[in-house]
Amino acid sequence: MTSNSRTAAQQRADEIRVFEEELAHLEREGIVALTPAQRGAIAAHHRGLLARLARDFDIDRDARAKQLSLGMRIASFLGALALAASVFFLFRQFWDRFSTTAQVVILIVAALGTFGATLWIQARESSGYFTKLAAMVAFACFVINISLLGQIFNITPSDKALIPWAAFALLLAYTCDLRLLLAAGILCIIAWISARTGTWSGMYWLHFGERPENFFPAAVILFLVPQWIPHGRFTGFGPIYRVFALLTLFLPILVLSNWGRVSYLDFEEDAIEGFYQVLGFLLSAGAIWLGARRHWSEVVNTGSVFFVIFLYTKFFDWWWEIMPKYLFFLVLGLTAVLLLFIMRRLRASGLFGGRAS
Amino acid sequence: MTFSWSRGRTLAAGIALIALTNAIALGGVVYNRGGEAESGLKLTQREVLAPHGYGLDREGGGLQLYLSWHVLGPERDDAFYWNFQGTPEWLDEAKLASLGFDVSPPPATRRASWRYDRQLPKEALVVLELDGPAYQKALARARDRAAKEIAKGEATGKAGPGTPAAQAATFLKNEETANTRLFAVDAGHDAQALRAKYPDRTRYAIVQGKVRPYHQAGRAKEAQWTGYIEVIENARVNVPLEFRKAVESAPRALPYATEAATGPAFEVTVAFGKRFEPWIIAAGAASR
Repeated sequence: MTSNSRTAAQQRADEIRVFEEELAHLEREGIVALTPAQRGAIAAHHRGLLARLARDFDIDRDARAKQLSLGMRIASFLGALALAASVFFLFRQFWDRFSTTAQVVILIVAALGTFGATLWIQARESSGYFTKLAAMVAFACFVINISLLGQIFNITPSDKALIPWAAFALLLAYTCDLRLLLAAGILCIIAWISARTGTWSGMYWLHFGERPENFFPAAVILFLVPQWIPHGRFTGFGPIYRVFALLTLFLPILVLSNWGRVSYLDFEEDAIEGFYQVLGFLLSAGAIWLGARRHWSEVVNTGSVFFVIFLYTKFFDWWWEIMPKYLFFLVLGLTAVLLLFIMRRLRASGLFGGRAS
Repeated sequence: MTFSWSRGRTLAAGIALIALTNAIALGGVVYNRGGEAESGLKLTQREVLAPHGYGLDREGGGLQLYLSWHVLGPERDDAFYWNFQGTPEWLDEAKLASLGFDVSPPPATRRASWRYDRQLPKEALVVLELDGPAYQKALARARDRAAKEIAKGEATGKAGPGTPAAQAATFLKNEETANTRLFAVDAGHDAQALRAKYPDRTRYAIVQGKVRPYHQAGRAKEAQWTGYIEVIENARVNVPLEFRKAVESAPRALPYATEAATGPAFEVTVAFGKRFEPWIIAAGAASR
């Protein structure tokens, strides 16, 4: 199975279901009238096609199956996290009973074994749920592998460990089409780029979070990745890159717009906060515009959320102390209504119409 | 770019990644421990502490010992009993400047200076001295203090439990018998220069650490840059299985442990390698 063909198979199955519903509507309204032979031929064709797709790709054949799939995805996600935690505590429980050599061997064999098991499961499973569980355990084993080597041999902590962790997570993500592992890999990349950015200014790498601007290069790079590398074959990978990029951009701006003293900029605190407040509004509005132009709903949503957060934090600064609380929340509510009107007008005007990509 | 790798190539890439990462990590360990150790300190239960709650948590993982170190700060009445890991008296403006910090006077406005003096910590090599002049000086201070407080107590008739005299006497006893003799005495970036300055490898260990500066506000004379050692890297040293029994049978190495009053009963030799990373090479009952 390739991730692409599974996605395409599910899409085809969805199209068949929509077609059947629409055809039933049209027949009821007397727009078209298929002969029993035509209807039978179409139904037989679809039945055969759905049976083959279900056999080959474990797709959801109807709405009920889709709901069950959602439940399975949630169970798979929680199970993956729980199994990873289980592996971590398994190591802690029995760790001190082994010699150093045995510990090193166990760590390496665990990482290799769980990785091999992931690929083995992936080759035999079409749904991907168990592959996700196995991949998360493999990633946890590799992270524990390097972390515990550091503990056993008292190795000085280094941000360089984030590179193989990111590479391993991305390898699993792209091989098995797993968004959870993609997110793990992206987090490692964000931490590494931000730590490197911090060390260029002379700080110790672990303190990169104390200067939020360190996150900006990672945000830009992540946003551009799906532009440079086509991700059409992978379900939801492009949006994940963009959402993480925007979070990596807007969260530091939010911090800087309220606590200017943590900035690299050598200006008065008020000036820094004002600069980042304006930047936050401009960039979040720009994200809404760009997302609408490119039909990136996740970019529109993230931009909207942060635009509102920036707006509400300013309202809080200006009016929380001086306004009665009922009036303050009334203003917030009315602002939300105003934003709804504006966005509805923009949608109706077609101003944001554009090419999807 | 395409991601349509065969399963075989994916397997090979994953194995190579795991193998290479482990090889680099273990290669670093071999390099660190190769040849003669950069330094080796014979520590007692005064200098190595078991983590709090060790033995109570059955899922606590392996045993690690914590290197207990102090600094000798400027002698201050208000901080005499607690300023053990605060500002060392040797970490002055000149030393901070040599470590790469900007020690020029902060801007005059309070708001700007607040931000200005929030410089972030930098890496530095820190020299740890075992049972050397710094410890002797700390001991002398404790003796002076005890003598003064006891004399004062006798003069005023306040010498019972809980009085300053009793507190000073207890502190002196602990300093003589229980508190660590490991002191951070210098910092720099050049390991060779530090080793030339402190050539005794059985008394001075060079370790990696972080130094953070801060600007001490005050009048013209008092206002100055100073700093503190934020952390000593690898202060937690893993105890391999072969030394576990010896370490676990050692007396509890707490600063106020009464066992320590009888002298060192336990000894652990910690070596520091080319990358200044420590490891235990011997542990057992101390030779008396």
